[in-house]
Amino acid sequence: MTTAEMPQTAATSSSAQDTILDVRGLKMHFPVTSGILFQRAVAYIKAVDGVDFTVRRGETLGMVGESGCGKTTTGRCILRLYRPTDGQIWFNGVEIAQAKTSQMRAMRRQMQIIFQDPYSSLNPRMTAGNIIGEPLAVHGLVNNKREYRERVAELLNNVGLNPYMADRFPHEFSGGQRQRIGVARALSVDPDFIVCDEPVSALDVSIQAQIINLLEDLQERYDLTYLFIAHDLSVVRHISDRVAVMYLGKIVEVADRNAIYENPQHPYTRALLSAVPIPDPVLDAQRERIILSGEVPSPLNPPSGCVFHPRCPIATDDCSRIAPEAREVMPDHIAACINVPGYGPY
Amino acid sequence: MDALLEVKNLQTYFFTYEGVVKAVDDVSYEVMAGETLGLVGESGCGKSVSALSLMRLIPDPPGKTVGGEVLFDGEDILQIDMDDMRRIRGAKMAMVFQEPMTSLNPVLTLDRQLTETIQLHMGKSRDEARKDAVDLLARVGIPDPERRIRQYPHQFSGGMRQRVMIAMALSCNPQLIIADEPTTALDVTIQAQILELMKSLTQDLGVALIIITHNLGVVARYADRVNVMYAGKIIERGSAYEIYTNPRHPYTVGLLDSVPRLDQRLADESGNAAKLVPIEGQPPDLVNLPQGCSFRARCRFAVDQCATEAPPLMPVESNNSEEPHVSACWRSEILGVQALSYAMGTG
Repeated sequence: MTTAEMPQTAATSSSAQDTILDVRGLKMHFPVTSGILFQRAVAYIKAVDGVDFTVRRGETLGMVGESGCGKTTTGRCILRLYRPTDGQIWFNGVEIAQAKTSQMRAMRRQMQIIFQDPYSSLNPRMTAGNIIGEPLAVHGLVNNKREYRERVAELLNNVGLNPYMADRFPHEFSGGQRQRIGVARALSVDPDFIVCDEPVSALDVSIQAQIINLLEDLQERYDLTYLFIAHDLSVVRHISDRVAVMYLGKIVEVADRNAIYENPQHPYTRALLSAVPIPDPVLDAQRERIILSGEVPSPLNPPSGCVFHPRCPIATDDCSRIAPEAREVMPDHIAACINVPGYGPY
Repeated sequence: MDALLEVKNLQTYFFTYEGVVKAVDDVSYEVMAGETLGLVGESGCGKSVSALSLMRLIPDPPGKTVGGEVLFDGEDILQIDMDDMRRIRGAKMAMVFQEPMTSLNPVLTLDRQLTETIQLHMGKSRDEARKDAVDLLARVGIPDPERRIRQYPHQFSGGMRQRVMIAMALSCNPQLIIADEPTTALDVTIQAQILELMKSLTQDLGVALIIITHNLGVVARYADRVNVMYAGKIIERGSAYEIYTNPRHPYTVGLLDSVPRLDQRLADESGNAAKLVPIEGQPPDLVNLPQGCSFRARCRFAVDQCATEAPPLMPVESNNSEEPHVSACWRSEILGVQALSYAMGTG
């Protein structure tokens, strides 16, 4: 698909084999403009400000954080729904951060997205069958009408819907069923990698479990790799292999899911975890509780040094001066905090 | 302890073209003075409608409270006229709504919105009311209240707006606050701040609180007693401890099984991640409720009796004799055994 341009190979060729996605120094700054005819940027919203992470083939990387922390923007940059301000995105060994739109169109056969809101992400004037089948036609994956119909029926089956539902319109489906249509649409091009952007947060609890199980089954069946973006830490713990925690445009901690939940290092991760009540009054009463003061600062004007220092319970004077880089503080455990043991000299 | 609020056989129906939607159907519960009561259920189960019915805020038409009594301090507030209701609403019972973005008036400053109720219900002058309002804002943790009170809602963040809503609810020293999904629109760290604030304020002031939510964790942490609702009915009630450790209705069990938990990851014998156990199917259509138990179609334990007779709330064996534990299930005995094996298997 990228025959026009010889694909560059990733610098670390040894790990390129099992790394499907390698994001380096990703920045996405949105301009705040002023003026009517001659618009000029008066400031920048630093939605994503220097993010590094990798996703291994076949795994689920969970990405958590509060609203406005840049997790959705990161996901959209990877799919190149935005053109990043700076940084590199290596997908399957190809750098796509500045790839042309036409190249990206071909790349999107390998990468897809499931959106958060099943009510607004489906075109109300298209039937479920056409929503699912449109990518097949766009990418020329079917030769005739019959193949098209058969493939749509197969996709509907795979996500637990009935093939006869293909002629229905989105409003005829419940929220959980609509999300299944969104999943089928993402699967239609047989991708390697799917960005799941809050796929269950608009659904009721009993329906959430159905969709989570579906995503897990499909991952197993089709060897999918997920970037699972969510604000619900319990869901992320359940589905992810590794978890990245974001705060104000930066990744503050990345580790294996058990490590991050049982041995969180960064003070923000600790506070975030303690803020989530668990459905067990006895155990919940025994847990450590850290209530953060204040609110997330504006990404228009982030604090100096460590962006978390104004709310941090363990901040020292150095924190307002030094912007901590993400470092390995333990094997396979990355944190960006100078006060974490194992961070080393700064 | 005396009941502050007694809801008896409340029925609120919506008369639509498709038919009669029985949003709240024969619901009874009590709220004790100063306690925190949780009302849990999924969207469409009638939890918000039941709260709005207490405040008599159901839009009519199409909605109507067609039956039942709501005794507040011994008086049936469904029977009093609207002028008397207005004197209770905001003064003795107050409400905190889900959406702090839409429940404040965007074209009025906080000053106008906060002092209005105080002037009206407490008979204070504008200046006295403003002084009270500034104190309230300070109390709910809004910095620099003197200056902030002159601002408009859009100048506040979501968490701050919810603090303003709480200040407004507290402004006339109510005996009961109904919080309808108070933190659903907020981020987790802000959610924790707001819930802690509500808990401490209601405890300090001895205000009873009804928390309506779909979040089982929030209820576990903050409620003393819990009502679980499904398809317009309360299907289980007990102390928070009982509901979580000894659930006796298949729907409650299903809800607890279907949410992933932060403190544990379910695993099978070989250590691989176990699947969540979802509740299969969809909640029933409230226009055409099935005969018998409305959960029957999704229930693993259903027997023939469930199809013909709707189970009433019946007492079940509980670990705490002081607080009755009731469940609307013919087979709650079997569930007791099931729940035990579940707890032993994973705990």
